[in-house]
Amino acid sequence: MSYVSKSPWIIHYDGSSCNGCDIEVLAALTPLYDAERFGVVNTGNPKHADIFVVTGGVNEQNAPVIKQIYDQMLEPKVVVACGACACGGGVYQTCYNVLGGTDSVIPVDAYVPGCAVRPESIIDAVVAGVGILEEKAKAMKMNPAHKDRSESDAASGAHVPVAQVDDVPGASGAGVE
Amino acid sequence: MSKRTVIPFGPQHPVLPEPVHLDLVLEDERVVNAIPRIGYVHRGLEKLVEKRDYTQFVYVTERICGICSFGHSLGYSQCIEQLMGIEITDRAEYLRVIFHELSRIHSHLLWLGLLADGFGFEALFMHAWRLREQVLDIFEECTGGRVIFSACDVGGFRQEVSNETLKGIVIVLERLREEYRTIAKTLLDDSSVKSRMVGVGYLSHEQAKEYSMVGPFARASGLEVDERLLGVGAYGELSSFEPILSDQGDCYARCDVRVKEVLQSIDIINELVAKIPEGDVMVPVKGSPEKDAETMMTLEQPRGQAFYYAKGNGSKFLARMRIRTPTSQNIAGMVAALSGAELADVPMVILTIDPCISCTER
Amino acid sequence: MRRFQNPSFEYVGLEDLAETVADFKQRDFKFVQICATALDESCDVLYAFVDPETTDGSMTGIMVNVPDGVHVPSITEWYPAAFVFENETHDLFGIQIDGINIDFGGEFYQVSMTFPMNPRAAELEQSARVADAQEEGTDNE
Repeated sequence: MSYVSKSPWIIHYDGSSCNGCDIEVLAALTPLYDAERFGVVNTGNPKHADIFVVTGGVNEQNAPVIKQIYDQMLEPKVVVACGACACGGGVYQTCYNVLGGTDSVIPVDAYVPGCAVRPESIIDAVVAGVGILEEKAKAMKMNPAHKDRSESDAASGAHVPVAQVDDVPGASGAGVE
Repeated sequence: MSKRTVIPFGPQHPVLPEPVHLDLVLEDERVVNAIPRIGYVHRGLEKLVEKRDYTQFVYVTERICGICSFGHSLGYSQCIEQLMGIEITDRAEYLRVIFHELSRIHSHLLWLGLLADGFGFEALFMHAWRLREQVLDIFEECTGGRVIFSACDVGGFRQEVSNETLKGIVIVLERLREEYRTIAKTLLDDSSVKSRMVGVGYLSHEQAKEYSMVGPFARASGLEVDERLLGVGAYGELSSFEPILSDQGDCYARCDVRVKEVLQSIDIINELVAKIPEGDVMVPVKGSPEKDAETMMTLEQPRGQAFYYAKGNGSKFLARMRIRTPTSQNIAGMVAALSGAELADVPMVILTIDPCISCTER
Repeated sequence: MRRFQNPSFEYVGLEDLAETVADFKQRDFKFVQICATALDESCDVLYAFVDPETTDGSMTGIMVNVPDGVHVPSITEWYPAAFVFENETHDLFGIQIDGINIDFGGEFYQVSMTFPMNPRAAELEQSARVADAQEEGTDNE
């Protein structure tokens, strides 16, 4: 990719992280690493965001929160799992309250290694995320009725686009929020 | 009586870097009660002592919190040394305190940045974090890690840091002090910043005592609590130590106390680097804690007093490890400070207690 | 160089707990924390305080042995900040604490298993639930 087609806005949620990756996500936006030069803005609103940055593993209580933030984001969207815990549980893998990495609740597009993750790798991941975002947008343009949805989404029946429900004969709108 | 409304606050909120949920009971625009709801970051680390032996557990304690990571490994190591009667070398004690104070500088600069971001002063946020990077560079140069660096271990300090490097640290910090003064001046003297903080979230001295508050939050209400006064380790070698107090008890006072503590930490590091003795930094650790031996100790973290309790079971695995972090002690105070605040001031009140949720819930 | 703190532990009967804590409050002790330890047959609950009169700031630990199923009085009457720890002790160890000023009723931590730090209490809870369900079943019949 020789140019960035879009200024990606990110939303950050701290799963059960230790803050180490958290503060590195913020550090990536501040003057030394300055991801803002790529137009990366940290927003607090899921509806404004293109990229969902998750740090830390998933536990019993925050799984619905992560799911909900993901559902509120508009398509196309990209999920970046930052750090060892978000990738697969990390040092807390064997703890009783940790379900695993981010991919145990939502589909993940990019995994960033490190404990704690380094700001350079976060910038790498966000830039890679822009590429994925572009592909997803293209796929949506080719076939507006078919949105790039994950299997887990389809399985749980959450967030089924209306257009698709209408396509199914006899569908009574089940699964539409 | 006006109608009461309940507004949910968090867990995902623009001013909160970490998830915490509050149910705010409002009467018009005024908070009359706040009910905290935590548990979003609960992992169950204390249970991990059954699976990791006492030398491995130091890495787990570091990952309780990425901001206070050095403090937790220091507290855990001191607690195990106290349990097993290990005396570490003087040089290691000095290095530990130097790095602990460096993490206090990094933690306070981080907090000042978040505070500035909280009231919408983004340039100040960026400048505070720019200065903080200089401290992280010191960590990276000495240990290889930026926020979690596994430098402290049971038996001493893992990395030998040469006297030349330590002198270099002092030079960096002196330069940082000059730049920091401009930021501190803006935070403390700027009228728009002041109008956001003065008189907001007031807690009296009596309330601070009633709610057993700790750290800068308590010191801003004039309560003299600082574990560094106990003089354990290299803190006892300082020529003088006076905790920074303020009797205002509002958000501005909490900011004021932390701003001054950064300068105090730089002074402590300067003094210790000038006095540091020569010698080894690690002593060999043999054996394991005795069965039913138990001990507890406290430590002053950037956010206040932290508590460690350890109990041995005769093997390499501990029977129980308990870590009580400063924020859990301050939750009662936070709820008290919130009642009576305006809805628009709620983020300021929450930020000024410097909550560290992943510490609290472990 | 002073390296260690020297805490003291004192074993107190459950019935004397409230009295001891009230006495501490009167003597201006500073409250530090509450924590529980699961033993083979029961739980130990440690209440830590700092005596303002000691010169070295050493802590005093009050150790209370709590057998299974026995209720513990809350100390939030004297130390309101204790509610965090008392709720936590209930949620993680299954120790019933009566009269907490802000009682979350077992909803403070949402954990994936009942009383994770104390498997024995979790078993008891489980069998109590089964018994309840059976009783309800017979009532319905």
